[in-house]
Amino acid sequence: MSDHGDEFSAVGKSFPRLEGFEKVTGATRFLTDLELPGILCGKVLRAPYPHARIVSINTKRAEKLIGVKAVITAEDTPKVPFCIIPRVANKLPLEDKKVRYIGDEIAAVAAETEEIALEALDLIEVVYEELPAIFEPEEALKPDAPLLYEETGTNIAEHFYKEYGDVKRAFQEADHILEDRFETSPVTPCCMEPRSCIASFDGSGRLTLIANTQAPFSLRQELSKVIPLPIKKIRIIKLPIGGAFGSRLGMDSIDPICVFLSRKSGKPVKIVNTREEEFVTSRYRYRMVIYLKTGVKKDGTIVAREAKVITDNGAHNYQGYTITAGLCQKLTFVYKIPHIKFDGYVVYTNNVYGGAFRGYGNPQITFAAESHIDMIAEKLGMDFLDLSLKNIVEPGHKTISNCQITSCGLRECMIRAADVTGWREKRRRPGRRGIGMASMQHAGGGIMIFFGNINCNYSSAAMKMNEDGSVNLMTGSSDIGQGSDTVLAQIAAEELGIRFEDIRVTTADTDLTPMCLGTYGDRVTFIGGNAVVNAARDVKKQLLELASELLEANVDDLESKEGRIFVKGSPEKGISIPELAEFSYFKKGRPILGRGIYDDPISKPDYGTGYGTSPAYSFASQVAEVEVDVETGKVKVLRITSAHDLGRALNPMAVRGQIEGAMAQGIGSALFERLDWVDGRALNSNFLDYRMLTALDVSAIDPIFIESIDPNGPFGAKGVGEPALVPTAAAIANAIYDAVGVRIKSLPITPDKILAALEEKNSISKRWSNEK
Amino acid sequence: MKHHIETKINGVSYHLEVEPHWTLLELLRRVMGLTGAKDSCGMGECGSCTVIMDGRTIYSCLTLAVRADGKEVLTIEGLAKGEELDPVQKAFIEHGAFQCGFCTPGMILSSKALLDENPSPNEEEIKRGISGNLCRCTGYNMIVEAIRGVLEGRVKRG
Repeated sequence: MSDHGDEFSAVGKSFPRLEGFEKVTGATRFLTDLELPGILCGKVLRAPYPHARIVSINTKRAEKLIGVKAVITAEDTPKVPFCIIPRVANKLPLEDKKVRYIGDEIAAVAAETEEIALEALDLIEVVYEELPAIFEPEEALKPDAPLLYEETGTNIAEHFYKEYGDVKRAFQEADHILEDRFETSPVTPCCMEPRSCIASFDGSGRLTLIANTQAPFSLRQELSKVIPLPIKKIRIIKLPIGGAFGSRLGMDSIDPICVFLSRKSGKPVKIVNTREEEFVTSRYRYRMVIYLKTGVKKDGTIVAREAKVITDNGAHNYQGYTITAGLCQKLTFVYKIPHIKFDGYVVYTNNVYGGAFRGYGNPQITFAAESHIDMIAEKLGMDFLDLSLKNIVEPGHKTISNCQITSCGLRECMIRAADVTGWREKRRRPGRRGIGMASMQHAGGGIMIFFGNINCNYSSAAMKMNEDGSVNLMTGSSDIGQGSDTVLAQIAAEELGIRFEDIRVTTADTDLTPMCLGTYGDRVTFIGGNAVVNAARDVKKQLLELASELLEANVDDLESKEGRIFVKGSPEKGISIPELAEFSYFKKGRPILGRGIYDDPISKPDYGTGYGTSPAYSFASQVAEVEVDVETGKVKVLRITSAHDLGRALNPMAVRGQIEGAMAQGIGSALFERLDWVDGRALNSNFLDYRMLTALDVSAIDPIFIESIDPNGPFGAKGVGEPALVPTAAAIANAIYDAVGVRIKSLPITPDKILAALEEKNSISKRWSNEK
Repeated sequence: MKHHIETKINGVSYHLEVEPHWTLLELLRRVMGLTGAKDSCGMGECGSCTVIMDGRTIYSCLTLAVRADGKEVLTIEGLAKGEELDPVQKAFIEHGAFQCGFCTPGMILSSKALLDENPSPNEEEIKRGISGNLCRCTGYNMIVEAIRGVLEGRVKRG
């Protein structure tokens, strides 16, 4: 946890946030705080039925209401479907024929005030013909199930199948086989700032969309197709954003709707979701049913794994396919398992459609996989730790799914987490307290994706040195609260040899900053950071050339440190960077501009997996300690110790923030959080009924940094934003089993499930003793 | 019909005409241009709209603007004295007690009111004091540490 000593001047230090002063004084302007002259309020009419045909929409009365400036339905739009994975796009910004979930967008209004806009929504008359609806993905697979997309003839949106090795034979050779069914719940991101956007056109018909986005350049592409407008006619700006966590990676219907409203009214339009709309329409973590089969030898060698996964895709395609297919890759990690079979079904239901939320499928599959490891250890009479250590991947290993591991501190993570917690002494101790472990692997530098038609994992940065030697760093990378602006400034300062305080950062404006694919897959530090390193090297090269001229020395003989460039070995023979900058601008007439790009140097696209590989992988092991109240079924998490292989902690305080924050979300989804859908309607669409953690619910968190120094990471760093919540549910489930001997295989692990399991366990043991 | 109210906001007295249905949050954000208090749930569940009225924290989204008549309101914009931050604000920066920063104004004001009311809260009292403010980014522990940091700073200064 300690800061690095003298090795570096800027990285490895806990610099406070660049934007700290603004954020603690209320000066930060979020999108929802922004007003423009003449701006209109946009509101969306959403479907009240989970599945219905739209017979007619009459907007006449709404249009006549004084103060209403635009009313739109699908007929006012080009009806181009969108999806972050364009190949499977089937969501219209405004639906025209059918609605498929409670919340589907069908019309929208722009009015002078919110009150008028809401009144206008009430005046829109829609005639629906209700259709039978389906809400459980396993039921949706039955032959007589109602179809969401009749033209496809099935509710299977996507199917992904893959086999590595010879799974059938491997299971025949296994000494023990375990088969279990696990289930996860829909967990919603609860961003504190509701999703919102502001659209406006200038006199030339050029669009500016200020959006809550993690990926402005992807949004520009998505929007360009749907509006449609050429890329050059669109500017996307991301302002400070009140939370995203993956859920704001792709376009939402409100983005194009806002644009259509602005185009029709000729005015800027702002749409802000209500909190209820956030709960009803946000991209949440897909719920999955996971059938897992694991084969193991007597000595604890895991020989085969087979998973059948059914993902509730909800009503429209979004990331169901990539998230589900990606699980196959996850199964080939953590442990070296030679034979793996994966069968994934992405199934339509009349629930809201899901998406990415911190972990990208990993929390779901890791809950199942690491619970299973605990069950196998129990069956073999082995300790979880020994069983894990026997099978884990090592540095340099290439998975059967073709992922090249470079740095890997997984073994150290496990051993440190166990040592710190006194694992062996506490395990299987009598009483109501229990201890459980789980581990994970996650992309540490983004994933290879298709951007348009190009396969890449790319970011770029530009740097302008001013005449006083200060630097403006411009990058497409989006700080969504995690603190990437600060870390990228640290990287720039380190590489340039100037002070952190002398860097200003401008990000995520498609007119002003170079391109970046966005903030996802733990890629900004690794990919964005490397782009910044390269831009800084470009600036440094220009400075060295200037210094070489002024100092009459070879570039190779010069060194840059602490804001000065000097001849190696004779620091007195040098010149300060501000002097060089001044010289460049005023004597040479040459601005100092640097540029840098970075694309994954290792990965090759693997079309077979349907999911990209990463240039680096992060690892973590967690130990949860819990206390279970057998009277009430309540679980108290006493402490979670989380050891992370993160390459290098570039800003230890920011890293800790990522781990602490993710962990709170992990504990929440393990024990409390679930959208309670009944017939497609979320009954808990508010903060009182949807239980996210409060300050009173958090437990002690003990983060441990394992610095494996990745060969390709900027200063050895890898991503660490997502991992901390990935193994939490399994670690807690395993700890609960250790405490009271019941195995809960569905999330969240609520008191009623524990009480029911305890009752069943007691009645079985009672029956057993009676029979004896 | 509009109501006339006299209120002090961040130390400045105002005579204002407000609609009877306006919330204090609407008054602050729309009329006064004070956007530090946030509109996140509109139902008094998340605490993003927290301000201090006559020394007590309130949810400004549940408080009618007319209730501010004759009262003193402190918003996040009034906490620092120019460039000089309040110790709570400083501690939030030093301890990394925020990420996205959206809940931060409310969280800081709740922390301040807590410390004003109870100069030496224990861990449980600190957690209770901020439990009406939701934060999705930090997991709260670093916020609790920031508040403890303020207490330790007071001890050091004597």
